[in-house]
Amino acid sequence: MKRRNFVLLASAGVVAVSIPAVNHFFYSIPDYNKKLSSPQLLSLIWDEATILSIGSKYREKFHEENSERALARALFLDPANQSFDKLAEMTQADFSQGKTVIIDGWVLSQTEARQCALHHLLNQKA
Amino acid sequence: MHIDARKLPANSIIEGDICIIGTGPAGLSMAMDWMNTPYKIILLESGGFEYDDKVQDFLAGEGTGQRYFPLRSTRLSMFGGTGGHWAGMCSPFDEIDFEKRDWVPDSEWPITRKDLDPYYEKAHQPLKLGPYNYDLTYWQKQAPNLNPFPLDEKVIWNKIWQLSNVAGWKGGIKPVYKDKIVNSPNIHLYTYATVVNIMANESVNSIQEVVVKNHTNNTHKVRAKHFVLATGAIQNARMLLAANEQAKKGLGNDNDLVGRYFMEHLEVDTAEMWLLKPFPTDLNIFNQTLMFWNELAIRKEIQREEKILNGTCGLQPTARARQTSPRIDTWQNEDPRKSLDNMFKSWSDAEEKAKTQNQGAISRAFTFLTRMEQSPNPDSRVTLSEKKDAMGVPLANLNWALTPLDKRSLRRINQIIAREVGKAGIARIKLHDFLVNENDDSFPKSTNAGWHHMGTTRMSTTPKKGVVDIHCQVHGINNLHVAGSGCYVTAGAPNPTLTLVAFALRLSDRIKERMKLDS
Repeated sequence: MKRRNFVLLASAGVVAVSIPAVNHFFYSIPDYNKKLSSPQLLSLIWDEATILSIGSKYREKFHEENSERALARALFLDPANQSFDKLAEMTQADFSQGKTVIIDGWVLSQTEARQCALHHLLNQKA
Repeated sequence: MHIDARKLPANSIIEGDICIIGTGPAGLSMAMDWMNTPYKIILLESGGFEYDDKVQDFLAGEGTGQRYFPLRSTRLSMFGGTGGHWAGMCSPFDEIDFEKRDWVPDSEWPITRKDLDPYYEKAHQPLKLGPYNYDLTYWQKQAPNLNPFPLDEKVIWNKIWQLSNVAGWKGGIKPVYKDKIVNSPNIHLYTYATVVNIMANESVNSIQEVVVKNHTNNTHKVRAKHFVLATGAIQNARMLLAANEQAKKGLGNDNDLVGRYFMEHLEVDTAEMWLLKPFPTDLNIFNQTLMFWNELAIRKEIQREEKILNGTCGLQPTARARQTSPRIDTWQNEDPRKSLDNMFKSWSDAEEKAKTQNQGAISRAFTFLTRMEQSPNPDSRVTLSEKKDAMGVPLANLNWALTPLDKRSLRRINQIIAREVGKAGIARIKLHDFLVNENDDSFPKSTNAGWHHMGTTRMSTTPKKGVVDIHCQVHGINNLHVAGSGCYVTAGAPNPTLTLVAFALRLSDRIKERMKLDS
């Protein structure tokens, strides 16, 4: 085999092997516990309808995150995030780091706002 | 000694050492400071001991710019002055209030907080306040359960207020000081003595007399070595501007500054704080036993970093606040008594409605009443109207003007607290609609103010920058002084009364020194 052909074939092989991995890394929805989409702290002051309404407004405001994949990846890409305690920690860290969003006047952490959006999306699907 | 000026023979000449015009907290505090001295003090009051609608007419005025209360009903023309409807909230200005802040135009005071400190303590006496102590730790020793929210102390602090025992709702200044003044041999109180003109000497560098009238149409003249204007920031400016026979632009107004930089305190419902869990504390309620109150304040370092104005947030139950009409809507009657009735009725209706709705999470929700200085603004000003009162004096016109810095600061203060309560994991905050759009600099018609009139005769080292000097003497007029919040360069976060009484007592000391030197 000529050296040039060998290089081409080898490259194609690498691409073929990589595509599923890339696809998995960038486009799949991470496994997560659906119950974690419910924002625990906010449920202390809001009823279900309010959580859904805030979630809907977040999805309207941030189109690029308006999918289960985008929201779940933003929240749960790191498997270590999959607990209410960890989400509460992330929420407080958001406030410390100024990662807040304003939805319907509410000043919310990005994490909890995403939870609301995911919660809305999942419940809408159901 | 009390003299009803309506009973004086026409063209009376009244003579004394000091003539104090106005019997509100500033004028009365000064008069009390001169009690039992060898000096004869002439104390002039436009009204009587009781409310008089005809006299109140002299305070009528017009308004342009940001919607405001009727000028006629924001003040009181009677013994005790506007102190008669004062809520009694007192707290000293912060150090930063006196500092030059690059992000606040025209914010440089020619004095510091330290210059005023001794007078703050002294001002506690006439205002019948508790000890001169505004530290939270002191107050926590006075009563249990004064727990502050666990917020980052580098960002938020608890600003303590004291409530005066001579506040309007406690009966006011009149019952406490009337007899003392009337029985004082050296204080000569003239009621129904409305100053209609101020006359200077030929070179307009010294006041010779003030002209006094009342509804009898008799005119009298008051002569003294020193004259003190203590009729409130709007009326003081009006009188200086209207005294334009010898100085065409008005007294002290060579640089077109009299009446400019009118300031108010914004007192606006701005946000709701919803506590995630109950937080037992009595710290943030209007404590009528301790005569004490607390508000959340922003540290000066954060104000610098964020380039915002100074302000504090008081807490009121949201269930009630949602039912309460903005004060600027309920206080629109020209008659202050009717406006007062409307306001109280609105509060009691709200209280009643709130009882049925204060269930569940809303019982842990508190609405922020943000109390904030407005930035000094030369376009926010008092001018003379073409209309005149019954004595022939032009009415005041108030153009209340707010700026984008005011709006941004109001929004930012609430956002900062929202961040901090989130960080502490204790609450979430919902901004009111008018604060949500970051590009909106406007203020809604419902924007409240505190009836705190400040800044129309601002203090400066040179006449090019202000009307009075560091001793509250009108630049260029050696015996005319201004007592009151009109001398403020910036409005500070707290209500003005404690500070204006401190200024009045400081001015009093200055005039005493001058009298000693003159003799």
